[in-house]
Amino acid sequence: MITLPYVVRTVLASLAGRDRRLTEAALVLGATERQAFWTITLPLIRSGMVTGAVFAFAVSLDDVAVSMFLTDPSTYTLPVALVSSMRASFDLSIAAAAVLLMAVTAFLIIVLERFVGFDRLLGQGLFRS
Amino acid sequence: MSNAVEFHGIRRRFGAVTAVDDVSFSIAAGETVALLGPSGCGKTTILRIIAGFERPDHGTVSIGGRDVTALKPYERNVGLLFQHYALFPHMTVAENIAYGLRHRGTDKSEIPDRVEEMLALVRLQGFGTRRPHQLSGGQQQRVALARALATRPGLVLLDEPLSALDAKLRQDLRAELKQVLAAVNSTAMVVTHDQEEAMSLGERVFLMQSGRIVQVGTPSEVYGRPGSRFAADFMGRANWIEAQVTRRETGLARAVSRSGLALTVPNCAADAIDVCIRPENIVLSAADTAAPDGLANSAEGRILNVALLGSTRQILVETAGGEQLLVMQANRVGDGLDPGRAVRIGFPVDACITLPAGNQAALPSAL
Repeated sequence: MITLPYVVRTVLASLAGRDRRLTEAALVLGATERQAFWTITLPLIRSGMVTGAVFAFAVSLDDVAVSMFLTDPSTYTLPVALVSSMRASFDLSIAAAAVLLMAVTAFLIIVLERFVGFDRLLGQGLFRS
Repeated sequence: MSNAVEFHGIRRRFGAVTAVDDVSFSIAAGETVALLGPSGCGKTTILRIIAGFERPDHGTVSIGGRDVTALKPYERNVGLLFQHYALFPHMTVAENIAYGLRHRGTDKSEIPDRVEEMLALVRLQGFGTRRPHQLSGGQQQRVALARALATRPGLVLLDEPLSALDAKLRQDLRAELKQVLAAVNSTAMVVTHDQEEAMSLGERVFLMQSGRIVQVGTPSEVYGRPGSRFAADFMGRANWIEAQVTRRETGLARAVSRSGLALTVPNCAADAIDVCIRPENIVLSAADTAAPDGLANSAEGRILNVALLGSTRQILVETAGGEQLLVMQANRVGDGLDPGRAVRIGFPVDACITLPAGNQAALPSAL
């Protein structure tokens, strides 16, 4: 819920960045509004949608404070558990969990790069093939 | 079907602004016209009305004899070349060109052949599998043209087709664009604010100002016989001399400018006149000689400054009476036309365009 703005923002950003003229070009070439949406708009905002989803996941994984307020005593997220166990006792499972989180983050970045490509997220990239 | 496009009494307002004010025109089949005007004059609105992105408040549009005023863009068969091409970045060149064919119900088996044909037309054979971002600006423009022409539209609209390209490329592509349009024998309308583009591409020029078409004519008519001060200034560089008619003869008027320069100009009904002389029609000669034969108007002057443009120079000359005139002169070696030099300027009667004084333009649009 807290992460909804992240998704909306990234999808909107890709919608706004998309040239409105592309839709007009599709219409003038004989596509109806619906066909233009499926063939032009959707493929072009896909990267924004994936980015939004990844951000949403990362933020909800990360945000201890928010999670603490939103969770009840019986269900809690990993960061909340980590913080409370850090308070209670200090053992190696905290370090293990931290490493795990880093690995998940790295994995996500690789996934993002594979499926979306930083070139496309950051624009054209410096060199063109 | 004599006229490919009929535009009748079109009016379009945005709030308090009348963008297009009672505009009517027709374009013959196979003709290329240029809709020319400064930014904000309403030419883009006309383009969008023809393409179907805007509805006019009044008036009718017909294309190929069919009333399309109320039709959606995809229900008309109009080709549109966008200013920044608007190629679909996630598709290859061939897919871009095929897009219109697929949505206009061309037989599937025919599409690859048509795409090849279009690529050949714009001389991009073998580029079908590339993506738009792998092409240069000029190549992208050609792909966009191929895409716009692929469905054999009844009318092709070109929105500032060359303005996104650099000057050198623009000249090459202008010629090529003209060839391609002639090759497919399509009816076309070029919408532009660049008078060179309009004059070189259009067989007729529609000059617009403040939502109205103020002059229609061949490029040489609009350039050589502008109907207003606005038209004269917009079509190219112009020198203006304000003068008072003193005597009339058959077809001619003798006039005196404020600075006392005596002029012989084509006749005009008004007594207070503005005389326009194009810079390329003024001849420079040595100061101490008589005016060359055939030049009815001449004056002594001095060169104020010289701007080198490559093959030509713009020379600003001040006459003895204080009139400043811009002269366009070929850039020849060793003619010694340097600032400070005394010269004689001369121009023939038919180089003068006489307009009644204060003729700023057509009437302001009546609201």
